[in-house]
Amino acid sequence: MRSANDLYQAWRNLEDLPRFIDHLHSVEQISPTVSRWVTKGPFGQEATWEAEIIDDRPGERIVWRTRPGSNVESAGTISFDPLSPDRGTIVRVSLEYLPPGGKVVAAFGKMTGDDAQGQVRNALHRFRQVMETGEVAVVKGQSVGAGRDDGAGGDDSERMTDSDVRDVAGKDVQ
Amino acid sequence: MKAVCWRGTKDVRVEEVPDPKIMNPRDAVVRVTSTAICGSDLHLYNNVFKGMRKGDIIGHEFMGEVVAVGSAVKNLKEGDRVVVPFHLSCGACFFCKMGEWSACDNTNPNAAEIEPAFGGPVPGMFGYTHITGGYAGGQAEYVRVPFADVGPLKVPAGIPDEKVLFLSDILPTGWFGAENCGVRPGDTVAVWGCGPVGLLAIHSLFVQGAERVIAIDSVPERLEKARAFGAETVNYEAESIFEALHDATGGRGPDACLDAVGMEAHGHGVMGAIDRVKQALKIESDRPAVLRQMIRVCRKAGTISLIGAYSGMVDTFPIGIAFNKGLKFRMGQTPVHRYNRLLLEKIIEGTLRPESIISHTLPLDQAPKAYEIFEKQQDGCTKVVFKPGMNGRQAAPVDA
Repeated sequence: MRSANDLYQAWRNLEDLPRFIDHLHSVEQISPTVSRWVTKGPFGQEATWEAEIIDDRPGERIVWRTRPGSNVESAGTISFDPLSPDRGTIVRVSLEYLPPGGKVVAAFGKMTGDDAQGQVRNALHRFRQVMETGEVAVVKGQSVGAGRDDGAGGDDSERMTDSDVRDVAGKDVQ
Repeated sequence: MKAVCWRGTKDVRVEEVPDPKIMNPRDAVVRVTSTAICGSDLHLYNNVFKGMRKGDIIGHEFMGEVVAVGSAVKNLKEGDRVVVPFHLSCGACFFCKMGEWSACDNTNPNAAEIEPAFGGPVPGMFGYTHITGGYAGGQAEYVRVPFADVGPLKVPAGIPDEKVLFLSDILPTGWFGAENCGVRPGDTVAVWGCGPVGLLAIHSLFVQGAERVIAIDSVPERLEKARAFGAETVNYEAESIFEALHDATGGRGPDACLDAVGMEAHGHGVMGAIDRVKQALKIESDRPAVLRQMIRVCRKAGTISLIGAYSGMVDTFPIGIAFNKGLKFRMGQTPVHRYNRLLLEKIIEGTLRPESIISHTLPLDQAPKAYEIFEKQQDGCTKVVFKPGMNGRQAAPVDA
């Protein structure tokens, strides 16, 4: 469990964000409020944009939006709300975005399971892991036996699938 | 190195796989000196606990010698002898801080995928399904141990592996299941299943002060071991569980009922057959025959303690009987870190003797046969321990 201020400080250090956000390749701080973001998109496709912090309240929240002329349009807020002592801090992210190419790429994103909601959820779990334990829980690259290439395959062979989740939680789980 | 790898239903193979490496600062690598098959490994063997991948290295009960540590591990060094808990815990999250180590937030790489179904991530476990992270397990010559500064328990030299190996899972699990019965003086507890966990639950119940334990199984060797720990026994193939337990308690029912069987209960008659069909058709993932029996026979306002593993959904669950009798339910994966130090002391002082359940000690390459006899309950098999170093040289040095 970490304080709102610790969590704000860690997130505000934007160049560290690729550690938490799976598909982010790099973030470069180019002025106190402006940063350049580069993603690792699906199928090797890369997207880049400049983001500007438009509201910055230390220990509370950060609001940003992409600058005019970026090939991705997005805006987002991350907020840090302290709970009672020994209960931790609630971190909330809201994100609106239009990826390059609009709907077509969004459809591909959905097919590969890389929907925005899942990405945000994944980033927040990793953020908590790093802030509480100092590292990201990882199995990718561990020792494994033969016959692995059924089903999931490739880099995602360690990931759970929707079908695994349905097997234990029933069909009504999204 | 050699490792026991999962391939599919009733198919485990000893394969040559890459040696484990330090992948994170809090990792260690352990040379495995002893490792056991757990009853819950049979759910993987029978492919009823989902989320396995071909090639997964299985096994979550293991101990050995530390051969490498990551840069953030300050409490262990090469040469330390350790028993490793079956689940991973970070030691820093909300749940670890309150002693609920088996609810840790931070050790499952699949946290984001699990959250929509479970409401939050279950912790990582060694050698189990990808629902619990898919970490490579300990039925191997070497194993990577993440969060090694929190989990592994150092054990002194001079105590044989056999006495302390089960601190990894089944001794704390038997103790936890017994503790969840809330035993008070004079209590009678019924225990379903005299496999390794059931036997150690019986042992724990007596140490915790139960007056009587009534053990239920059908395998003569297992019932004999239950009697050796002091239990009375019911062979469910020879008599009715309901009638035997009611008779033994003057019609009141046991004060607590402990399930050390879980999702693959055999079940009887029409309902047992229907459960098998439903499980095969994926209408239910788990067969709840023991649960139904316990709810019916437990005394009013009594306690149901579940430590046999369940994975998903059951059908025809008599919630109304449980409600109207006012039963209390306690269950879950054992928070091993809460108990392992206490239980090590009880082993050293001689109060607990878990090693007496071992029936087979084998080299690792006997794994396929060992799984088969343990699953079929043949050859008096109550517990298999593998010694990866038993047949000569133990693989190559670890590149860490």
